Amino acid sequence: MRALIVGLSAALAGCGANHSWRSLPPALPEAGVVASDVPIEVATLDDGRPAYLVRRSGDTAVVGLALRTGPGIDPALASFALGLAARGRDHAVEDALGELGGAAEVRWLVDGAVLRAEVDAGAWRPALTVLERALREPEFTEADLEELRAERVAALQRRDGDPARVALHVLAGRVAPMHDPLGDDRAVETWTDGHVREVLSRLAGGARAGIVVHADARLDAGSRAAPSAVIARAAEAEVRSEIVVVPRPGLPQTAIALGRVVPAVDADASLAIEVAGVAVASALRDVLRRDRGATYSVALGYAPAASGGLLTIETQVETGALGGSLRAIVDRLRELQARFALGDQLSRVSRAIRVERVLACQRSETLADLVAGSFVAGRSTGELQDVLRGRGEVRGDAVQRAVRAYFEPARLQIVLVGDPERIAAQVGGLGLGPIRVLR
Amino acid sequence: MLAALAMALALAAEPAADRSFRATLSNGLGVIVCHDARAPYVAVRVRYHAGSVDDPQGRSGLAHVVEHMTYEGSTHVPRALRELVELELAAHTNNAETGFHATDYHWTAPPEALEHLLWIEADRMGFVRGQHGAATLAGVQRIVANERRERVEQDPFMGLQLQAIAALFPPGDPYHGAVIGAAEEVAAATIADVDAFLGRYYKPDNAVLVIAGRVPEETRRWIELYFGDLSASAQKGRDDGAREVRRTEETRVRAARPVGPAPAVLLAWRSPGLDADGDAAADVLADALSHGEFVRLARSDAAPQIARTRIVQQSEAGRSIFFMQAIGRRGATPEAMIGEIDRVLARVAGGELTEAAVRRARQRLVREHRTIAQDPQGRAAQLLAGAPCSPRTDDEVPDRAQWLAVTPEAVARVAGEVLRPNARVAVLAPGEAP
Repeated sequence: MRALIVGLSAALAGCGANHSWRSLPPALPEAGVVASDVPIEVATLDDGRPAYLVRRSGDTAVVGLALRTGPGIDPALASFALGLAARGRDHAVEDALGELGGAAEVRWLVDGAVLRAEVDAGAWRPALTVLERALREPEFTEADLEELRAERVAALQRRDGDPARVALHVLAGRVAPMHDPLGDDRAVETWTDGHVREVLSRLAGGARAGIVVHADARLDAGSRAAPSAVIARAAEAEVRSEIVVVPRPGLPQTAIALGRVVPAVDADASLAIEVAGVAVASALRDVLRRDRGATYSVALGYAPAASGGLLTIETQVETGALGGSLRAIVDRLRELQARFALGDQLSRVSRAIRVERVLACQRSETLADLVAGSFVAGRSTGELQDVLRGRGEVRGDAVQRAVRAYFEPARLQIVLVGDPERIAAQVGGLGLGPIRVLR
Repeated sequence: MLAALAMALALAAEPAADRSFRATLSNGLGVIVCHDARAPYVAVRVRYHAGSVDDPQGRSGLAHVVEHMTYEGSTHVPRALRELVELELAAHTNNAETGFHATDYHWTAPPEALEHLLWIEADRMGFVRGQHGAATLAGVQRIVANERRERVEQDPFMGLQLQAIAALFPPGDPYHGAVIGAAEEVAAATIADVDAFLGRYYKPDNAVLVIAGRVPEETRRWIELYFGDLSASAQKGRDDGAREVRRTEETRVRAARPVGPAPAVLLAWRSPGLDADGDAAADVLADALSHGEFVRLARSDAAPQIARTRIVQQSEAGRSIFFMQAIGRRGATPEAMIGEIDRVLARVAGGELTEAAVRRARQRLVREHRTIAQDPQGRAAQLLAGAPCSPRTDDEVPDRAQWLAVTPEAVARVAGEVLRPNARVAVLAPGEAP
């Protein structure tokens, strides 16, 4: 494939005189990474907590509260409790934000969470007040609790109806439980008013920061401050001991999820993992979709976190082609382990990822989530500014190391969702480990 | 040749320095360019007014298959070359969507990639037809079959939607097979079908090119150069707006398979078409019910049956569909859930949805519209829907103006006149036996 790419590069560079203007592409311009400058100011409020002001002009504003949770908190209960606070007594908080053109959302960030709302630009201050009060003085009744509990159980049923989402849920539960904010319905049924109030009290009393994404906002600030770094290294992934199967007989496709936990790494190493992930996903897509015709899509996910990131590969393949597809995935990963070089594509892939990161920040709510993510992970805003400005360096040896370190097939947990008998018949002989069927 | 190309562009009378303009080329291609110097990137969107309603009889899903075929390469842009350009120029969001009435192709990229993207899209418009044989089509059909399995057959809730659409629109209706089409009809498509569809609909006079974001100075010239000499004479997409049939009886369908331990229902109505009277009110109703009002209006002496709802007005140029999907509480029955929905809709029709609830819904919809405009691709989609390039007030944006004008009475009218029990299809999925 590389030879083809080199050949095409030559074709792109040359503009032969014997061709019409349509037959040859326009001359290639110098491609850089264009980024808008989005200043992030950090202030200390009167209560000593930090507040982040992201100066982005527009017709809307995003306000939020970033909450660092620390270890030992149940992500499902914490996100449920925040959802209840964001709704309020008989939807009172939801109504108050609705008057400002907004609706509260809870985003789970693994090392914490953000409670945020996007509202009309001029309404950022009252919206922030509504969120602050919802967190510090949560109001809800037993009926509100029961309503949200039923809704959560239904949301879990909706998730469990989708084999791909089930596979990722089971995978996260096995290797990185902090990445699963939905949990399972048995736990939901046991949550009481006391559980919810206790976790909300802990979240409100813990480290938190205000966030405002708006061009003209002014915060009552004292001295500038930056959060201290609290990056912790997670344990290395262990060698896989078994393949987990979630029974779903009768489906035309079998969902496959492979993944592992990834220790906290710095920004450059994180970019190297992303570059490696793009190359791996592209290679697997070529094998499974184009060569074997067994799937529609192959998705690679990488969610870094101070308490341990999660790396996933997810696809759904024709049930009859499961064994061959799984074998092909493992073989391709092994080949990449032994021989991997992006060559002159490295800088292009790196630039494409940096452009993608900047593109993702076009929406204010994404910016707010990134700022909150930085705070809860204890990273400096400088790193985030680099992302927004499209900066980042990646070297070939770093990408090679990332492929070897994080895509070793034996350390990837495998979860399959489909017919256990057909799975056993096709996968049992592949030597990937014993099969354990969940009940 | 360049002089002739320059003649081809019938530009609106605007200052030459203005990079934002609307125009129609002499070959019929609609052009909307909206420059925003603050945006770091540029979005390109090409819409063909051809979708699944244009699938020939017995070939449902063909418009979607054609969408995939256009990614297999065109006369001057082989697939591998396009992929290299994408990487070389960091062009992103390269994707497409086929709908009932239109197929959109879109990119978001650094401004320096724009000329290449226009070159690629012009080649897609004029030079895919006749480029591929049966072997390429067979590969695409296999990918589309896997897409159908992944998106529709794997997920029982998607199955409910397919059943509802099939029951709402009888066999022979262009909406009947949904966009994805029937598996056997997708498999039966031939390369002649693909080429005939391209020849009929992939023409400049059946398309609109939208460019939004940071627009380079040379953009007008590039549009002239790459699109100006493409030949016109498209067959226009089918107009089905006038074929509305008033339903007088509810259709109840049992789900093909359970959706989990708790029951679920999906109700679907034909509703006011895109921008027609009642369309905006249906949006407001869906938003209000989704933000707490369903629960409030459902309260009664009886125990609640429904745990979660998803309510949406899917606006379409021909006939829109109003969907209410509900998942029940454990122990509920689909019939009791429908009873709860009927009670809510009767209260709305009776004027019980408050002015405050309607106001909040209006404001949320307008604010969400502003949020979508933040990224160039969202902006491009809104320009296609008639939004001006630089609106000064919400009244200048048709969608926002329509939402802001919705009254509680208009919402009540939609509930009473459109969302009638005897006008709907109901798909019932009982909970799995423990």
